[in-house]
Amino acid sequence: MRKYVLKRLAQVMVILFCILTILFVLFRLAPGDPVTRMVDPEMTPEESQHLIEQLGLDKPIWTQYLIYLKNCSTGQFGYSIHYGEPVAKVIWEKLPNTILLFTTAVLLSAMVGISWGKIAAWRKGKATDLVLTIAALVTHTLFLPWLALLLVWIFAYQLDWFPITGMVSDEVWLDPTAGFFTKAADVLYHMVLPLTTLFLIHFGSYLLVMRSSMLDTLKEDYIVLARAKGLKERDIRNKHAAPNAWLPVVTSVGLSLAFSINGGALTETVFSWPGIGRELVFAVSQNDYPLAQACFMLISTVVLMSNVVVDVLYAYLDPRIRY
Amino acid sequence: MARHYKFACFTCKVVAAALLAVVLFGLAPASQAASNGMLKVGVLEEPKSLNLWLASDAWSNRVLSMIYQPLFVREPKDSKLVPWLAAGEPVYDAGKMTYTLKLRPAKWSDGTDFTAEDVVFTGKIIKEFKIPRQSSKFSFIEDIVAVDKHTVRFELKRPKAIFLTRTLTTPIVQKKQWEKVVAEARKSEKPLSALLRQAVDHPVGTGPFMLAQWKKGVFVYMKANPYFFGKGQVIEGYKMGPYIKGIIFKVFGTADAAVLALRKGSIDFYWNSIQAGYLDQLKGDSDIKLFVSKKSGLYYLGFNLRKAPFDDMALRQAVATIIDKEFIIKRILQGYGEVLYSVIPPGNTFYYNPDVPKYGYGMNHDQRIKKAYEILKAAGYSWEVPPVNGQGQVQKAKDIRLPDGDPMKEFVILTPPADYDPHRAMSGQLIQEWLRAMGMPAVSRPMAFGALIQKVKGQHDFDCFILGYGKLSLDPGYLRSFFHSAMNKANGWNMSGYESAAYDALATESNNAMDLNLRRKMIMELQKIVMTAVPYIPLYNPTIIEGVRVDRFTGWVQMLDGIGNIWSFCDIKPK
Amino acid sequence: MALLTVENLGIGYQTAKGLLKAVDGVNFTLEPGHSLGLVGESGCGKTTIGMALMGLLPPNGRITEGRIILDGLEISAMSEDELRKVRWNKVSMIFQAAMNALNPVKRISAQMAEAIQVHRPEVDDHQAMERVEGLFNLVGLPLERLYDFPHQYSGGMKQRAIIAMALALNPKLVIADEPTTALDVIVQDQILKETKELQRQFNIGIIFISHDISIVADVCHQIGVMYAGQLVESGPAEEVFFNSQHPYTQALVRSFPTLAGPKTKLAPIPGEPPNLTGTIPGCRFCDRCPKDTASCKLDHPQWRQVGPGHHVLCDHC
Repeated sequence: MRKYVLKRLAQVMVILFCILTILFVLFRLAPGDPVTRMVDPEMTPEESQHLIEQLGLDKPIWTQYLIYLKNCSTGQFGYSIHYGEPVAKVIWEKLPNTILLFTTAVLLSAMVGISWGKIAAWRKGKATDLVLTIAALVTHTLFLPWLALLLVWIFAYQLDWFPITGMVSDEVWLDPTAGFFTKAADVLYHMVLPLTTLFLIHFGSYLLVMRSSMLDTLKEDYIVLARAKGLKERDIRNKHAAPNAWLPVVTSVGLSLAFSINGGALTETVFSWPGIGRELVFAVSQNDYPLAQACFMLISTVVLMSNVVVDVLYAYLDPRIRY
Repeated sequence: MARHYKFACFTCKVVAAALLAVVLFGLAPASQAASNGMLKVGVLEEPKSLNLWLASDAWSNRVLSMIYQPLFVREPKDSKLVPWLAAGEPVYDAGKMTYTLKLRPAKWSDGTDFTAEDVVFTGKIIKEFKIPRQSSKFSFIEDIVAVDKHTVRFELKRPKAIFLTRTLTTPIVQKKQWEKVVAEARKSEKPLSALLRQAVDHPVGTGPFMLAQWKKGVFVYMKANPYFFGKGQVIEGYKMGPYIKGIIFKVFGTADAAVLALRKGSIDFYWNSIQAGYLDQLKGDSDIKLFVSKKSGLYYLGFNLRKAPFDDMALRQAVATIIDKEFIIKRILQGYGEVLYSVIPPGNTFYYNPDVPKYGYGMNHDQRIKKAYEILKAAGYSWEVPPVNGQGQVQKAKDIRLPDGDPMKEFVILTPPADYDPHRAMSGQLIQEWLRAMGMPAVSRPMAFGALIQKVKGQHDFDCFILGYGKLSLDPGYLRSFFHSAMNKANGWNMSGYESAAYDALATESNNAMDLNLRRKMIMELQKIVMTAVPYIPLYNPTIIEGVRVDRFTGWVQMLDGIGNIWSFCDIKPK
Repeated sequence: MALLTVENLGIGYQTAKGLLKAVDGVNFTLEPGHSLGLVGESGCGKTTIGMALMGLLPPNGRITEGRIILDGLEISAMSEDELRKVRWNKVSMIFQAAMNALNPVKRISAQMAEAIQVHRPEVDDHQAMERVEGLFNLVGLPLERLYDFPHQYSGGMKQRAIIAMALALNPKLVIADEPTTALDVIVQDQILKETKELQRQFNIGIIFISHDISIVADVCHQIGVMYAGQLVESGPAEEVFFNSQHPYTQALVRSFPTLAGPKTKLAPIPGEPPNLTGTIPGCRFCDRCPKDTASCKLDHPQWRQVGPGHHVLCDHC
C-alpha cells in the first residue's frame, strides 16, 4: 500500500511538472501581454517598454521559463503583476473562503443526496421515489445564477431574512466587542443562501448516482441472503446494500470535492464571495501570468491528489481492491 | 416502513436546526451603533493594491483618491483647476523657466507635517524609477527644489502645457513613509519592479480619509482623517468636512446585487454607472435619487490608415457620413449618452470645438446614403449595383469597386466582446449593416480584449476597430499621442497610423504652449484637422447614472464624471 | 408430525403479460431429518418454492393458493415481521457460492455473526465469535481465515462458509438451492458428502434444489421432479431414479452423466417448456412427450400411485 501511494505521488509530481510547462507555454501563446493590456492613454510607449523590462517579460522565453520554474519551486510562484504581492499570498487570502463555502456545500449535498438516493432506490416506483427523483432532476438542471438571484431576491430583498450577498457584515466585524463566535455566526449567516443554492444545484447528482448504484446493488444475491437471514430492512439497506452502493459514489464525491477548490467564478460572483474562482478569471482576463498559472497549478494539484485519495479510499471501502 | 425515513429525517432536522440557529443569530440586532455616521459605498471590486504607483484600475483609485492628494484639483462647476495642497497659483518666471508654488499648511494622517520635501521627493522618485503613467509628466522637469518648508520650485527644461494640468495634479506621497522603501528598491536589480512590489498596508496621505481596516475581498473601512488640511476651511465655496465618520466600501460581485443592496439600504451609494435596465425600478423608489452626469469619455471607430482602402480620406468620410450616431445612442445606449463629433467630448467645455465637420449631421438614413454615395462616386468608386439608382432612389447596393476598378475586399471591424462591453459590440453590428447597405463587405467581429489590443496597438494587424476611453483626461495632450506620427509605432498610441507633418508640428507646439488661450486655439485647430481626415470617427460618450439613498445623507456634489468625487465626500452630511 | 407440509401450493408472478403461474398445485411433505430433492429445468418453479418456503418471494410474486406449514407454523399466512423471526431460525438457506451470495465488503466472520446476533440479541460479540469458530471447525474451514473477505476464499471455501452460515442457528429445515453447481466435480463431491454427514449429525430436514437428478438421487431420501410448475413425479430417491415412470423424469435421467454406472449416450430433451401465463387444459409435457395421445392435451392428468410412496402425474404411465 505504501509503495503504491509513493508510486502514485511520484506520478503526480511528473504530471504536475508537465502541467507546469504546458501552462507556461499556453499563457505565452495567448495573445496580449500584461503590459499592453493596460489601456491607459497616460502610459507612454517608453513607460510600457520600461515596465516590460522591469517585469522580465523581455527576456528570452527560456530564461523566463527557468525563472518561472525557480519561482514555482519556492512555492511563492513569483509576484502577481496586478496585486504586486507574492502570488502565494494572494491565493492564501482567498482560498480558505472558497474551501469554506464549496467544501461545505459538496459535503452537505453529498450527505443529503446520498441518503435521499438510498431512500429513493429503496422505495423505487413509489411516491417518495418519484418526488425525490423529479426534484433532483429539476433542481439539477436549474441555471445557477438565475436560481441564486431568485433566492437573493426573495429571501434577502423581499423577506429580509438574509444579507444581500457578501461574506461578512461590516457592522459585526467593525464592532470591537464582537467575539469569535459572533463573527463565525455572521459568516454562517452569510453562507446560508449560497449554500442553499449550491445544495439545490448539486444534491440531485449525488441522489441520482446513489439511487442507480443502490438499485444495482439491490439486485445482488447477498441482499437476498441478508433478507433470508432475517435482518431488518433498515439493516439490509444500511449495512449490506449501502456500503456496496457507496463505491461508485465515492469517486463522484471525491472528484467534486476536488473541483470545489476552483469553486466556480459564477457562484462567487453572484454571491460576492471573495474566493479563488474570481481571482482565476481576473488573472486570466488581465494576463496576470504568475497568478493565473498558480491558480491553475493549485487546481491541477488538488484534482490529481484527490484522484490518489479516491483510489486509496477505494481500497479501504472495497476489500477486493488491494495495491 | 416509517423507520426508513428516520435517518434521512434526522439529517434534515440537523440541517434545519443549524439553519434556524444561524438565522436567529443573524437577525439579532446588529450593532448599528458602530455604523452610525458611516457612509456605505457599494463597489464591484476591491482595490488591487494600495501601492499608489502600482494601482492602475478604477476601483483601486476610488480608495486611493481619498488618501493621496495632489497640489491642484478640478473644481465641480467648470472643471477648472484650483489649488488643493497648493496655497495658490504657481508663479512663473519665464526667464528661468521656473514655477514657484506655495503649499498649504497641512499634515499627513500620521500627524507629521506635509512639507515641500514631500513634493520634491514624489517628483524625484517618479523621474528616477520611470513610474508608469507618471513619468511623462515629469520628463521635462530639470529639477524640483524645496525653497523652504512650504515653498517648492519646479525648474523646467522646456515649456510644457501639461505642467499645470498634469504635473501639478500628481498625487503626493509622504517622504517619511517611502524613503526606506525607495532605498530598498534602489538596491534591487529591477528597481521599478521592486518599488511596485512594495506592500503598502497603511498608506499615509493628506486626504480626508485614512485606511482603518481592510477585510480582504469584503470591505474597506476608511475613517475620517483628523489631520485633513481642508477640515473647516472654505474651498471653492464649499465648507469642507468630512462630516461623516467614515466610509465603508462594500464589494459586490454583480451590479444586480449592488442595486438590490442600494434599494434595501445596505449601501448609501453605488459608486458605478448604473445600466439603463435598472432605472425603471430605481425611479419608482422614493428613497433613491439618481444623478445623471456627463462623462469625459470617447468611444470611436478607428481605421488602419496604413492599408487600402482606409488610406483614402474620401472613404473614411463616407463611412463617417453613413454612421447614424443618434440611432446608436437611442437604440444601444437607450438614450443615455451624447453624440460625439469631435475627438474631444463636449463636456470638456474649454477645449471642445463645436465647429468641426459633422458628417451626416441631421440626416435621415436615405440622405446619409445619398451623401456617402456622392462622396464615393466623386472619389472614383463604382458599384455592381449602386446604392442610389438612376431615379435618385436608394436601393440595396452590391459589390463596391475601388477607384482602380478592383472589388473591395472583405474587411473586419474588431470590437471588444459583448460580455466586456455590449455597447461597442452592438455598435459594431449596426455599423456593419450600414456599410453593407453601401455595398461594402464589412464584418463586425468581437475579439477578447487582450487579443484586440495586441492586434491593434501592438501589431497594427487590423482593418477597423471600435474602442473607447471611459475617463479621458481633461487635458487635451492626448491629441498628440493619438495622431502624432512619432506615436505611429508598435505599442504607440497612434493606432490608426495617421501621419501629417502639419498636424505633428501644431500638436507639439500646442503641448509646449504655456498660454492657455493660445493652446486652446491650437487644440481647436487640431480637432478640425483630425475631423477632416477622420482617422477616428467619434461615436458616442455615455452619460453616467449614479444612485444614492436620500434617507441618511445629503449634500452630494455633482460634476463631470459623476458624484463620486472628493468634493462630495468632503461635503455630505448625515441627515 | 411432518416437519414441512406443502398443500396444493400455487404461486403466481404478476407480469406485464398477466399472471404467470410459476407453481401450480404442488403437494409434498417432509419428515424431520429427511431430505427431499426438487429437480427440473430452469423455470420449472423449484427455486420459487424454495423462496416461498423462506417467505422471500419477490415483490411481484405471491402465493395464490394452498398452504405451507413448517413445524406447525403456517408460513404462507405470516406477516413480514413474523416471517423475519422464522427465517434462519427455523429455516435457513444454502446459496450458490458462485452467485455472489456473500457480501464482498464484509468479513466472512462478521456475516456469520450477524446472522446469529440478529436472532439472539442476548449473544454478545465474543460468544458469537466462539460460535462462528465452532461452525468453521464443523465445515472444515481453517480458523486463520476467519477474518478474510469473500474474495480471498476459493469457491469451495465460500461454499463451506455458506453451509456453515446456514447451520448457525441449528435450523430444522435447510433449503439448498443448487449449492454445488459452479464447483469442480471433486469439490462438489466432497461438499455433498459433508452435507449429508451434517444432515445426519444434526437431524436437519433438507430441501435440495437442483437441475441435476443424479446428484439429488445420490444425496436425498426422496425426489420430487418438477415440470412447468407442477410436481410430475415423486417418491423415494432410488425408485424415482432407477424406476422412473414419467416420460420427463426418464428424459431427465438420460440427459445427465453418472459418476458410477455404465457409460451411456446423453440425450437432451427436445422442445421448450410451455408458456405459463395462460391456462393449460391438459398435460403440460405432452408437446415434448414421446408417448402423448390425443386425450393428453384435453384433460388434466391424474396424480397416481405407481409404487410404494411413488407417485406420478401422468395418465399413461
